[in-house]
Amino acid sequence: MGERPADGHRFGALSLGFLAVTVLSGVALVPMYRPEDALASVEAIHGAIPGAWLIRAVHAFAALGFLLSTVIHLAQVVVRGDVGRVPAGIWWRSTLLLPIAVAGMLTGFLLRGDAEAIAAMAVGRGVLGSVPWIGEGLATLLLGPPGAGLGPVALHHAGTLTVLPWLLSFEHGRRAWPDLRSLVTALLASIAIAGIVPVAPGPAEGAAGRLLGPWYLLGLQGMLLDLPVVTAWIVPAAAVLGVGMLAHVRGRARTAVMAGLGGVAVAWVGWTVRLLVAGAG
Amino acid sequence: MDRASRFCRRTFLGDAWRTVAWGAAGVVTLGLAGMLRHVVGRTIDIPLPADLLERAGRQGGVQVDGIFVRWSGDTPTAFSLRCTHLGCRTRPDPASGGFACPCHGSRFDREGAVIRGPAEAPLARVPVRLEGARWIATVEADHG
Repeated sequence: MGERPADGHRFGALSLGFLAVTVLSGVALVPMYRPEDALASVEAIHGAIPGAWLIRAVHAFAALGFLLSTVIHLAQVVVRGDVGRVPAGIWWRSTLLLPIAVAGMLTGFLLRGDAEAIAAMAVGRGVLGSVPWIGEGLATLLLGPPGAGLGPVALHHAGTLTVLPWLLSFEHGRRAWPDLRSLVTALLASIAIAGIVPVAPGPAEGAAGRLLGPWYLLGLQGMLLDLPVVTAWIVPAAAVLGVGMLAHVRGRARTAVMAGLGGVAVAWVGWTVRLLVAGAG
Repeated sequence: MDRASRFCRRTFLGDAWRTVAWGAAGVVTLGLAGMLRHVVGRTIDIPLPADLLERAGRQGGVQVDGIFVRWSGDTPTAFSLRCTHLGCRTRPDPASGGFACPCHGSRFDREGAVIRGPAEAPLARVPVRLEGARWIATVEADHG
């Protein structure tokens, strides 16, 4: 399993542990999932196949753990002033772990195939399509052509969005496998949360009222109640660029970038509250 | 190696070249993906059987496969229930008698016109044609 990570990088190591648990549980789910009959197969995972619900819940919460531990690791590095210790190229590529982790979780949400997932797929295609010049190609590359079903999304989820974070994590931490402590911690944490918080597919047809996206995109959904569609990719892209720029700026400029990132976080929470309070339906 | 030497001109040019190369590869990939959309993009025919049209006449309109069908004079007409904001499927809104989008709250009247945003365009008309004795609506593959 390699050397133990330094204490200052505990969450970085833990993120690799969560990534390993996510991938292993995902592999276990592959024989049970059919993208052409997504909702029925997810319902079977939650009913007909004994124990399969636990594997899916562990998969979902390990992915969440990967995202959270990556964010905490990033925050620790920034707060401790360790940004300059990582070469700029690796820093930029490691920054991509954030949108890739979100994309992995979002595609997992789409693979449920229920009413919320179908709506999220439509919104995702609309947002990607609003990117000038490359939007149509981007939407087709990531979500497949219109009417293609969930096959392309399933391939990206299991392939692209598994290989890329592993490669980037390896480049960043020079470690292909998690240390034993991180792996066990990630596994136990995922199982514990899976036993407490139920994970289940939604209905095929949404109930009356609103449909909500996954929790981490509620700010975006709230934002789109009032702002143009292009803000749905401009704001996240600006946030990722801001994190990447931390490798190049010092002093007041860094303070300004961090204030901007803080502003995005506050606005995200604000739009989430706006959505939940005002309702969309 | 000190900090200044790490950011030397050669390193910068090397990074710039790699960035341009990756960017070009990305643009080519996206271009090919965009072409794929046109290759496989297609329309779908939705048959409108007589009993459905009879019900549409009796009830003032019916939903079928993501479209809303009703009679306009002696010809059936239809519009897509795909919200023109970001593509979610709208649902009947009992309060207004029209349609509401469950994603971002747009509302449309019974004619498909926008009552409340963020959608700006009305629900899209769907062409309906008569083939022999059968009425058929034609929609885009991603009509919702």
